[in-house]
Amino acid sequence: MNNETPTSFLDYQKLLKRAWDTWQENLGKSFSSGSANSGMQEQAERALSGLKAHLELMERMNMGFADETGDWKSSLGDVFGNFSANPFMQAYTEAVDLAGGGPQAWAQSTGASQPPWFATWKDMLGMPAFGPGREQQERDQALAKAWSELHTRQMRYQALLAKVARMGVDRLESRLAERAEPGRQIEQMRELYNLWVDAAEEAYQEVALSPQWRQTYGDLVNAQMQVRTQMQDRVERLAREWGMPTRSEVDTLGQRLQALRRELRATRKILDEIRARPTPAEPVADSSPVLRKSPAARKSPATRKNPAATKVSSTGEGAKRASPGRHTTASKQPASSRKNDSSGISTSPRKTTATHKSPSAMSRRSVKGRQ
Amino acid sequence: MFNPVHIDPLRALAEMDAFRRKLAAGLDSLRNQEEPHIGATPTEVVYREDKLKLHHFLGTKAVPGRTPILICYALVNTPWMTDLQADRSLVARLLEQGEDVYLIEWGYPDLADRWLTLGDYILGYLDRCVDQVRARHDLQRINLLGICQGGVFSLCYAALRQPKLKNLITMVTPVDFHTPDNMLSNWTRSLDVDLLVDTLGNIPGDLMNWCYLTLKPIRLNQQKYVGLVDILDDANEVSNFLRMEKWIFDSPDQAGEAFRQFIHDFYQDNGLFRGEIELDGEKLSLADIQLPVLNIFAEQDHLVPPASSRAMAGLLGGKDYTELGFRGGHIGIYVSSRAQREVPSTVHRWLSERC
Repeated sequence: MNNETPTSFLDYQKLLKRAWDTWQENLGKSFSSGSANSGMQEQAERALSGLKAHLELMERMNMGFADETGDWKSSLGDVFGNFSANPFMQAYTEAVDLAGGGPQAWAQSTGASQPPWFATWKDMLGMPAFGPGREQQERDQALAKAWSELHTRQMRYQALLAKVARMGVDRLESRLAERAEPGRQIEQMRELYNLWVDAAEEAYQEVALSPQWRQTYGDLVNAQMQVRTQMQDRVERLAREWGMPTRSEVDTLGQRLQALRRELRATRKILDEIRARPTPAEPVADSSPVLRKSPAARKSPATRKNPAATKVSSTGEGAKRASPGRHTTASKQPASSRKNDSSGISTSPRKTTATHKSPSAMSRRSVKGRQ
Repeated sequence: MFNPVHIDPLRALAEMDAFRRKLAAGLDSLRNQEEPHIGATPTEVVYREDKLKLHHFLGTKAVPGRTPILICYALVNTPWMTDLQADRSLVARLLEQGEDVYLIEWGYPDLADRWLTLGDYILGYLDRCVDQVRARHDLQRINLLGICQGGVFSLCYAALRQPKLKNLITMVTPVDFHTPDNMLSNWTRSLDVDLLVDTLGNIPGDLMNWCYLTLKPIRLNQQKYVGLVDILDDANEVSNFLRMEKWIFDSPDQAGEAFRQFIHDFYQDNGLFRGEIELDGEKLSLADIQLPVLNIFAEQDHLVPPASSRAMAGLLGGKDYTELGFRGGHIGIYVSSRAQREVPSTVHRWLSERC
């Protein structure tokens, strides 16, 4: 680090910038040299990005409020009011960039920036499709429509963020006005910065809790997913043509496997119940051959007090094939049978008394157009 | 009117210079930091299933005959917030008081887990973990402590499998998802969650993090790191900071089907509050819970507003309900120094009164 002494503010800015660059450079070297792992590097980069924005803001604050004889409201506008350089917008954009999963990142990953042919196609989106290529044309039109919709939703979202940024500055102005008397003035940049953060977050919270935000945010995410779905459809078709396994096929396999696991568990529970029945040699008070409740199970509050628990699931393959509905288990198994098995399915613990039901399949339709 | 901003240029330079010096000192401090380690208390894994592990904490003061506590954490983030480091550990403090503690680590779902439902998690995994603990201690009933979404799971489980539980403790657990101050809820209400899950499959952990970061975009993305500069010359503080960062951003993906159900049934339909939740065909109501319940909420919680959690009081079927409002936030309730003093001792005392 440099130990020069600054003699003017501009000198100081240069020095600070040089110190900052050195810091970033050295930090980068220390991480790339293997002295720290990639996780720490990621954390450091995240911190650096936030710090850099803060540093820029400090410089702007210092420049903007250097002249005490000027109009402070005008200075406020210079520092915080410029929409494109508004620190709130910067901070919000950073959040999106850093997380890699926000609306803008999604938009980029789905190619939501308008493709070159978009302008030409925009007017043709409603044209009826015909001829040998009609199916392809309809798919192209649907994708272009989804893109157009996403663009519109993004604009509305950005407009709402701009509103938040303006509200934040207004609130800061109000808070500053309360400090416009000797003894209450802001004397440190950090104090001004913290005041601005409070004002901006307060404005953001108000808007983010509003029905308008709810709709705008939901519309944006839904539009992103529409574009992504359309893109996935294209990839699927291409993969099929090339003889490659597709996401839909893998999904179907996973879904069937999970259903099978549920069915297997339900079957094992029935087996446990059968094993737990008294053997013929064992004296029993009631020799009814049908599956009976144990005394403990009859006393079970869940069995007595929860009428819903007696409802028989009728959905799903598992319920239809393997399960008679509700089962009462009263098993006393040896400890050896309680070990895990390699399939990831556990056996019952000892002295279990519970009311079981067969798991149903998905409670809602879970895959649209993928089967 | 005076100019409210009265920043002396020389003082400003000094302030920026101090900032610069802290940065310089921080370089060495960061260079010498080791990879942050999370999880301070030794455990033994007593049960595994798929990606799930059931941990038993190895305490030194366990009181024989004490009913064990099973901690059910949320699917978001990892459960090690409860045992972040030795001096910030809910688990360690419970062990010190003689409690016997188990914890479910759900693991990191991949696409093979995409079809796991809430029923699979609650009536499957959780139920089998409860059975494991019961079997290990030869007990009919154990204590369940649910945290955040894990608290919701615990409430659902208690409503359906009550005979297996002795006491229920919930921490920062939402019940009414439609309180007007619930920002996450507001953001989910217009989402087409079916389209979202059908498109993404599992929900990426990074996307979840993005949502949480944008709840307070400037505080969590900028101001927090400005505060980091203040502590850069303190290696111990930096270590604590990095550990917390590691926990925050170490986010498992969310199994698609379970996420779909949670958003649709809980966030959008407010089904838990309205008594309309159904798991694997079993309808549940909080009114079916007759157990003693201790509900701990955080008064400055921006993820689970206090009102959302306190709504539980009017819905439970039992008469033994206790509330603790903790002065802190969603994370501070585990790691702050006040939390170390207040929360575990309250849990221990409350349980002791119900042995």
